[in-house]
Amino acid sequence: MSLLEIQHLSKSFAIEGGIFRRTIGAVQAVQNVSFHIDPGETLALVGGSGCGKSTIAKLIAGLVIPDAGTLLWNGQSMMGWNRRERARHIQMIFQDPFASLNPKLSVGMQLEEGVKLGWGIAGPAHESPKTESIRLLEMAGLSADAMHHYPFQFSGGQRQRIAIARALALRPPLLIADEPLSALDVSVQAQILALFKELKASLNLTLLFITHDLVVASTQADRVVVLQDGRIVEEGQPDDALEHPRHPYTRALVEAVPPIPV
Amino acid sequence: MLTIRHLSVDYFRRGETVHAVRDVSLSVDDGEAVGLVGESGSGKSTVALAAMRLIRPNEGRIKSGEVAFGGQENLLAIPESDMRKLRGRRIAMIFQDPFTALNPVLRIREQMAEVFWAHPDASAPREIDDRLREALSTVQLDSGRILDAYPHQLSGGQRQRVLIATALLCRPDLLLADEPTTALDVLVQKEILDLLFSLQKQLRTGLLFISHNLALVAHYTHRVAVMKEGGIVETGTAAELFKAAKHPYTRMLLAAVPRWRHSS
Repeated sequence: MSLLEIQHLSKSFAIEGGIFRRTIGAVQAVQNVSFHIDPGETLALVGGSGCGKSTIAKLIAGLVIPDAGTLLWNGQSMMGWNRRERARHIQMIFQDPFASLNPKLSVGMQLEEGVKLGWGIAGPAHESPKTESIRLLEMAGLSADAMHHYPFQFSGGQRQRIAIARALALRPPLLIADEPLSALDVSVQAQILALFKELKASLNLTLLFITHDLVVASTQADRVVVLQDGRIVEEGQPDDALEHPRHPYTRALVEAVPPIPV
Repeated sequence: MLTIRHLSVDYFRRGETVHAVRDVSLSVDDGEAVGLVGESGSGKSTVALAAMRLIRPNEGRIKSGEVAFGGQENLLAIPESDMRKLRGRRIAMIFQDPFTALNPVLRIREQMAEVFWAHPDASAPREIDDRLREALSTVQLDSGRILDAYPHQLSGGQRQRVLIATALLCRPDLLLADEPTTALDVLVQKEILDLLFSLQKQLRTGLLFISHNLALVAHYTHRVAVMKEGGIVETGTAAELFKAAKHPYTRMLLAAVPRWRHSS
């Protein structure tokens, strides 16, 4: 059974205008989108700016309410979930790690907060949130020293590692990464991609990876879904999509990435 | 046309001196496009800012070196008033983030026309308007809508096109493009870079293209310099770097570029 199944999801946003901010139109951000993610799988959602990929992520994470459609978790409807239930099942990492970390709390405090939330009222008696936080940091490739520091003291790549550790603190079965590399240098991007691969192998993590770069998607994903203007235009194996793109939009995405001469 | 010799720049950070650029030499010929590659903090942007003399005195200083440009022996030695005449008119710069480079409370018309306030060679408002329209049409924008718009009403790609049009308004001899597409998706990135480099060839503008992506730089420029921790570690043609990069750092940058899993 699929871990997550999305059926006929649609979402439009109102365009306001004029002096009284009346609704003067609507943007169809997501139009009748259906796909599923299997346990342990990495699915990449690929498309250019404004294709609706981030809206889909927010719909799944419960940050945006859909106009139509259903979300199923292990075959059961997610529509009645409260915030805490969502947080324990699904965590999200964003493009700008600085914006998603609290600048006024030390890294340790933010991680421990997440660990406690994940444990609920009855945490394991033999473990402290602190040791669990240090374990998470080390898993994300940072040392225990980071606990006492604040987000501004880290580089962009380190901050993204902290954001990943923070997301994993709740031990979510599904992790959504929305353009996690866009704010980083190519060399740092490679390190974060390697980290995702490691985590996927060690935690059996299910990953929804959102990117505008089909080549990056192909290095991570078991399957890709290509979106244009809120609709799915292509779905399949990453190598097929790269080598034999069926839709002209997919072909444009492939050709936009400069080839490396051999 | 541009020759940077033994440039060194220091920044002052919390009482400490940081050697941001160390003994960098680099040249851009007439109408040539040169790439400058490095990671964040490698000093690549500082090289461009120093050549434009845009390093604030309270933040840092140019310690030594020379920047020869056009007929000028050394831009670092001329009075600021002369430098102001060169900036925008003969040397122009395009920055990474098109949103912060545009003033949010001015219409596009007003901010593009500012170039002519500093360089009053086209005085009549009608003539200025014509030149703005012509510049916007070269970057394939609809001037009727764009000129009266505010930056927030434009997409990231449109904003970057406006900045390219503005930079090329006075037909500069040299353009410094610092990560011009980092904030954009791959499709818009290709559009903008294809446009930038076709205009560069057409107008025979010298161009220094600064980026952290070696594959991108090599695709668009012939000669590439690789920077690490303030110094240039390797210079060569794109083909040479791909085939036989000498410095391990260059090889690391190349290895970092994502490839197809079954690439041939």
